[in-house]
Amino acid sequence: MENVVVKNQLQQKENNQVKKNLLKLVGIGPLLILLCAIMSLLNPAFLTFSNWINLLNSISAIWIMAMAMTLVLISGGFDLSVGASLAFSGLVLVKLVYVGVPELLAIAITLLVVLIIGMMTNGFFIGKLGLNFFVVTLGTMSLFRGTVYVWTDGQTQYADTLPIVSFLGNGSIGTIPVSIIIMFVIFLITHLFLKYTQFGRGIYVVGGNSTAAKLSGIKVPLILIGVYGMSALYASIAGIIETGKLASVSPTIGSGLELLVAAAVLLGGTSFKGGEGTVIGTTLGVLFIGVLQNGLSLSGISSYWQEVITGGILIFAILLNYFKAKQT
Amino acid sequence: MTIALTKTDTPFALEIKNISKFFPGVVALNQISMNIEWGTIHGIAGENGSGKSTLLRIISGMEKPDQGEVLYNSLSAKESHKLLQKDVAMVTQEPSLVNSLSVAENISIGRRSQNESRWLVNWKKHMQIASDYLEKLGVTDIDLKCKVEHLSPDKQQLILIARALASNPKILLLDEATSSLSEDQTLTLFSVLEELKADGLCIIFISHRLKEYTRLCDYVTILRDSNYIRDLNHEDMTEDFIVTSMVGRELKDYYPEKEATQTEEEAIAFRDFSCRQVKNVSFSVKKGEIFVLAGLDGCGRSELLKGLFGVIPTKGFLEVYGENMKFRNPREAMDKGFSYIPGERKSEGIIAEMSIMENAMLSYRSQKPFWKWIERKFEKEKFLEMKESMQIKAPSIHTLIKTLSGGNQQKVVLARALALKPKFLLLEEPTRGIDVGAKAEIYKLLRELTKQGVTVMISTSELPEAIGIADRIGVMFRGSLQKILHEDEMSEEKVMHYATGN
Repeated sequence: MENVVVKNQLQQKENNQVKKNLLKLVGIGPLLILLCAIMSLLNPAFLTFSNWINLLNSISAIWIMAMAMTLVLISGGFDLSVGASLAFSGLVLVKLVYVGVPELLAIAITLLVVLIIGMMTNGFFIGKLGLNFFVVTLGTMSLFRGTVYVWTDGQTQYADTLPIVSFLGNGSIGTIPVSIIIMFVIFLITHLFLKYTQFGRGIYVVGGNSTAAKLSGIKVPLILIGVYGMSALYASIAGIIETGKLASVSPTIGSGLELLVAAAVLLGGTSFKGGEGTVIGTTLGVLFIGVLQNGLSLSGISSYWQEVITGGILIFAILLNYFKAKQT
Repeated sequence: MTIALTKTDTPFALEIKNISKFFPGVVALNQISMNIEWGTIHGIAGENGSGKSTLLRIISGMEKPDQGEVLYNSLSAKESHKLLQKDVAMVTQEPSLVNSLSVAENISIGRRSQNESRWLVNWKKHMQIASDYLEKLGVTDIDLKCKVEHLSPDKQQLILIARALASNPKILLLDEATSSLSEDQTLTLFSVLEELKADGLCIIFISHRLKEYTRLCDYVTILRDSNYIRDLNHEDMTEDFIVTSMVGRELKDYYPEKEATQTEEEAIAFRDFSCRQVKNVSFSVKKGEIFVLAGLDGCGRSELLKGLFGVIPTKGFLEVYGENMKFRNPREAMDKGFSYIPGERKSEGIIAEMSIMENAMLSYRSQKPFWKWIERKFEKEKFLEMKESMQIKAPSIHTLIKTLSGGNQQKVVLARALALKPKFLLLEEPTRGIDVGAKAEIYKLLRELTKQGVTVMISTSELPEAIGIADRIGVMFRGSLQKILHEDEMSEEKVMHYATGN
């Protein structure tokens, strides 16, 4: 009797395993390859080197922010304020240079200031006081964006006389744009950080079960403050690159970007419930969105339709995740 | 001894046929079959983790069996699904009240479908139903408009029972429904149940007090380690026989021998210590002792440990080896050599999506500066050593903890605490929901630790466990320490006597 039960159970497990493996195949990686294949069939220009440089260059800001957003989601939270932080840091940079601060120093100050603001606002309220992340970041989003409007009086600030900033945004080393190099370095650092440091693993623990984390002696507030600080810092890096690219800071820059960033992270298999996700997955998610938009542009589809299609595909991807989760 | 199944002309209320249920890594129920008649009270007895709650959830339709089926009125599960949903009411072990709603609303939730209006709420009727059923259960001193979260555990439990009764069930499932009731309240409930039985209801009953089976039940089905053992009818029922059937072996080899490992040195001393439910408790625990806190749910024993570990704020004085201390958070307590094993393994203990090694190394890591690299090689060696010595059964150190059985999960959580070489080990419900073998191993391990001078404090709801492992038992009642029992005066009766306020 016992044997039959055990055998059945094993059989069932095997079946589940097969199903699970099948679902793994329909994850974001294969979908991305499929999408690339379709795009290259629709438009031969898609697979060219220069188009890919273009593509990567266009997604560098999203990619950098998505790295940090991955950490935030793994910790079980969400940061709506990254788009506004991006605009805010661009503005701080430009204003600092206007009052005569040397460019390099201005960049350093900007990064530091935004990092501290991120830790003191989002980090403190969510990590230390335990307020709801959605409400807090919704508030800071409005706060930062509003500050930008007030400070600029709604006028675009020009930044066309900043050689270093413009090098970061538009320059290139050999044939590779600097922004892509920065993006890649950040990706590598974040990946190693998340996988091999106490802090990085701590983020998974806090997101996976914050009660257990606290009872095991992990400093949960500290980790959350760090995570939201990094989120602001990365947004700030993206903001400086964007400023260089556009040679200006418009007060509306980056609005709505937080949702695109979140879409990329979710596509990459990080879930809202926290505790799981990788920056590699996120990278694939960002690439997916980049390829989709690039391919659709090349094919002459209007940006309005692009948005519709992006939305549809996002829901599709989340559905896939749902079925995957149901299997286990 | 087994019930003769001859009356085929009168169908049973429930026929349970070869039910099996698997959870990741464990067989929760192994081919269980039993029949339950109308107009009887049928007990299901077994140790924690023997599968009785799972069986009840399957009978109620809350969970689907992996194999076998439950026939209701000779109808298969598919046909009877809707009917069963209407006819079954269950009082679950976990509180399932809506805390933010009033007493009256909580009771009439089950009744809503039978209310005359589909869209509108008839408040007057709600109140009427609620007060009727509460009165039946002997509760008269309760404000029906009060939010249930403000009520004591025994009142909450009675409200749960009232809700089940209010839905006019034909089958009533009671899973530890008496766990926080006083003697009087239990007696009133029993007389209500007897009435319902006379009306032809089928009642299935689970309790952790064995004498309730002998007093109330017509039949008792015994489960052990997920297997069906035997049915007893009322005449054959004695507490001793139920126990031996449940445990299947002598209790002696289950618990390690009590050696005098404690010293006279005072390790932890509470003076007028208060937190949440705990009121002005004063006592001390000796070095190398296993001190067990016993008492009914809600008596404050788990809060006392939480307060000691800095999880919840406290008042009063705490002395650790003669030094005054106050912990504002778990971190501070850990720095002084305390480790804590939470009672709710799933929600407070494990990080489900992580490997067993990472789970075990959490606390160790948290002692390191957070910018440091992880010491992969060292951790691996350390964990392999613990895995070996604690007999954690898992295919590899990278196995996700959620796929392990409860016993092995608990060992990993224990390993997490022990990795820090604690001087004080605080445990809540250390063996909840784990199998017999693992239990014995954990008890042995705890005794070993005391030999090394570790002071152990345990809060448990299981009396045999308390008596089996403790050097001294502190019995709590409504937040105060009622009595400290020494080894020579320990018995289940005595503990219950003090736990109910005498």
